[in-house]
Amino acid sequence: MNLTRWPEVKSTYFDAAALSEAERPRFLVNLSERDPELAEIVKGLLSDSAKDGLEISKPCWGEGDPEPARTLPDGHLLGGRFEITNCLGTGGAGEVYRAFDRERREFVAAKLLHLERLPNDAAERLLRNEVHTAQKVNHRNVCRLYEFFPSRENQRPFITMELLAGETLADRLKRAGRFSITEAEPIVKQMLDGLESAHREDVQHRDFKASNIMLAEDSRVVVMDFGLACEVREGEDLGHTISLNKFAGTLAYMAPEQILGQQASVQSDIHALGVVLFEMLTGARRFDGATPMETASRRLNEEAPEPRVDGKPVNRKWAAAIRACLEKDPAKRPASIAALREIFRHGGPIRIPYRKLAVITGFVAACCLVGAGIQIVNQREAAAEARRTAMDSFMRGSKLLEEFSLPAELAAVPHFETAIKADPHFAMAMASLAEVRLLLSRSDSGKANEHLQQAKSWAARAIEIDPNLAEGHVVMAGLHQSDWNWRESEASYLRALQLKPRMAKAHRWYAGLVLQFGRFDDGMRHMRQAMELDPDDRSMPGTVGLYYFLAGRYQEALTILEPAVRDLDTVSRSDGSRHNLAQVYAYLGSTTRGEESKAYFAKARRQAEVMLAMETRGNKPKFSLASQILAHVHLLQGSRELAAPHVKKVMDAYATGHAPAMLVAFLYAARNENAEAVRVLNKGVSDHDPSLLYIHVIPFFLELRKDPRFQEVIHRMALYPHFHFDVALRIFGWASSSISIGV
Amino acid sequence: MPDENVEITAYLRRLRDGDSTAEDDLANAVYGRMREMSHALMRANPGHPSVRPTALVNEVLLELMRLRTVEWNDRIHFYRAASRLMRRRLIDYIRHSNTKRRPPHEMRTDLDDGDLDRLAAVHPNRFEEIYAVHEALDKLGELDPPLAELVEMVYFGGVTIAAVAELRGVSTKTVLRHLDLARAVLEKFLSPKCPAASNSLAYPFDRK
Repeated sequence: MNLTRWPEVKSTYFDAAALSEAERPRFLVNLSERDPELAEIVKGLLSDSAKDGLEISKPCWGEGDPEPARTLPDGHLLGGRFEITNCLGTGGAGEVYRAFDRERREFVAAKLLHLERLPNDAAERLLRNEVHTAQKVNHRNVCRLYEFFPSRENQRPFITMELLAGETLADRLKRAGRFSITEAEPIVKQMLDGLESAHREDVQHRDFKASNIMLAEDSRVVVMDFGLACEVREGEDLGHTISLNKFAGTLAYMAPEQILGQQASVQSDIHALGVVLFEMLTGARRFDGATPMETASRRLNEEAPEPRVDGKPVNRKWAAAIRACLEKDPAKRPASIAALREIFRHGGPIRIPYRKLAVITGFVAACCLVGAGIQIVNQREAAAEARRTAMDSFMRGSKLLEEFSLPAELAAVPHFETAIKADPHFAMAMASLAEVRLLLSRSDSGKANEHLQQAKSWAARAIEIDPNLAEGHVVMAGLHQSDWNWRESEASYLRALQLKPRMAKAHRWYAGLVLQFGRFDDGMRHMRQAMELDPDDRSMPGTVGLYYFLAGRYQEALTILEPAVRDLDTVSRSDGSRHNLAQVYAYLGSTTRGEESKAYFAKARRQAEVMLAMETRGNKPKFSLASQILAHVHLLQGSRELAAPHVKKVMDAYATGHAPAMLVAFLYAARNENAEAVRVLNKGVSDHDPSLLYIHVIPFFLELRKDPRFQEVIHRMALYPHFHFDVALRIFGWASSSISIGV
Repeated sequence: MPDENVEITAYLRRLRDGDSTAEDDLANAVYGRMREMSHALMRANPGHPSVRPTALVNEVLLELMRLRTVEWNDRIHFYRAASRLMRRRLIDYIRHSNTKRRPPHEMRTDLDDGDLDRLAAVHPNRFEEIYAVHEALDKLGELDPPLAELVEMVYFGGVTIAAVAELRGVSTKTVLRHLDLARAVLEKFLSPKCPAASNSLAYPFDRK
């Protein structure tokens, strides 16, 4: 073929191809008279393209993929004891046979792994694991495993298990389509029982899917293939080997955290369960694309669709359960199977996420979600309209909270108020209103008391309506903290965490409380949990960075704060993390020497200058954080002259009641004026100044702490350094014997 | 490997901004990680092309979905990048798997000769066809890059004709016509070099 003529060839080919069979010969004859070479090439291409040949209009993988071959023929005597009668199935990872146990005179299922796909002794370890794990779970809805047979000469390792007659849920769906609620109910009940029994033994399935659920002939529903994945630790070669072979087809069930390669949990199983429920009711998989690529693309770009049958939404409670299971954030999914059952029963309680709310629109969603706080009993139009208004306002308010700015928080208040007015039993909206008021009490200077009063009353009301609303208890905990009722605060946090163990905010806030008591290990643990549970929380880095600073882990604080500050949206975001970063630099400057010290101080000043620029751009604040940092840095560097104008600004603000006591005390401490520092702090204690929360642990007071007058301040705050067992007792009802050890 | 992620994000941004040279860099970066893992596997079990093509391409998708720092706001870029990576994944696997068609040693340890006879069925090896198309597609790419990209997306990426038509804003008929032409050209590139030309039935692409 003459490649230099390709553009011509291509366009002529398309001209010819567009013609009908009857017209084409005439076209080619004319062409051949004009340009014989071109005509020859085009003719050749046309005839080639008409032939049956290479198939390129379909993917080279997929349907044409050979099924893995079975490796044992019928009649083979496995391990000298099990006579293979037929192959029940082969898959990516292994193969399962029906076999007659000559010793016990009964039929069993025997499972072998494809050895060649596993390095070294991996198959043996996997199978041993599976038996070990599955034997921990003894439940009629979980497939029973009998024995493990290790590899011997000329013998691969294998396991035997109970032989189940029936069809898998996947086969049933393929054969007869979707289930009605009545049909689905008894099956789902057994599925939940089986999964719950495993979770109770700390066993996660990790590969829960319709093809792993057997609908046995005796109406028993059995969850199978338990444990193959569940004891495989993240990051281990084995895990990858398994996923490589098992992956095909399971993307649809994988939870977002599994896709991201993060630690799977009970909530990952619950996600997969949600996909199965969706599939059972609608007969289709959620995000079902025509190809894996489309499925992947839809999962990346689209929100999960509501389950619908013939265009109509499914049963409200089921829809609520499915939606809760399919939450992208594992912390927002039901904490356990028991919690999921509650949703099936009542359509709630569920947490309404702040994020992604914008996409949840329409009445169906409203019905599902409102179940959290309000009991929908009345289906009349007026009530429906009120619910719509309530939900709509609630979502607007929640959306605003995502902005993390004072104006947005102020604007969110009326939305939550409207929501509560439209629905006087909307506990979640009350908790949100309480939370935003609590946030405002710290940032809307001059109106702290008004906000706090409002916050308390709404938080109390929310808990009164729904005593199990974790969000209500978290806000209440924060309020107790701001009131310096430390014990009440800890009790409320623990209550919230008991109700919702995977609530990132509760962990984050609680970490702050225990850190202020100096319980660093405890604090770090909760902080790490918060970070794992909600890595995307934009308010996280600022707080976590501060916590590291308080815990004396300065480099880790920098690791968190530096990138966070780099990413700061300088327009809408408040500069909490920048302030924290500047403080860390200032402290490091004061504890290092020479060039290193100078460099840290310079970095602190640079951050302060950015803050200053932002402060002068917007409405001038009554207290300038930038001035405080500049004053502090200059004082720590020993130059009172340079500090003077900034110190004056801070002191002026303090005189009018706008400067946080602790930040003022820093300046006195830096000038070694301990008496003044203590005076300011004592005044702060009397005012319950929230800036004093971390007084016990803040590194800047390491010197001042030696002063007995400072110890007196701490004493007045009644901070308690150890976990209080009376709190634990009240929360968990622990027996006294179990807590006496080590007290 | 945070640095690697930064790198990948940068490639994807370049790709999104229309810099097609970023595709190769992207493939090397994303795919490099998987290659290491699969080579480790093959070192443990030399000579076994034991993984199904579907598992390999799904793995590519999974890796891409893990790059959550990237906003795939343009579907065609996602499809293009994914198809390119799927192609590489398959080809690299084939290259390293040193295909042999007999059952691997481990599989036979518990079978006697009679057993082996009963298991005589051997699946056609799809990998050989895939590899031949890959080589021919390189040549098509020199001749007509958009046409080669279309084949890559459909044949390696598994993007449906309807989806391609929608993405390119043309009718499915037009897409099919382009594929017909691509196939005719590919066969020309394929035939002189391939054993298919000698009428060997061993090669599935020899259907003339």
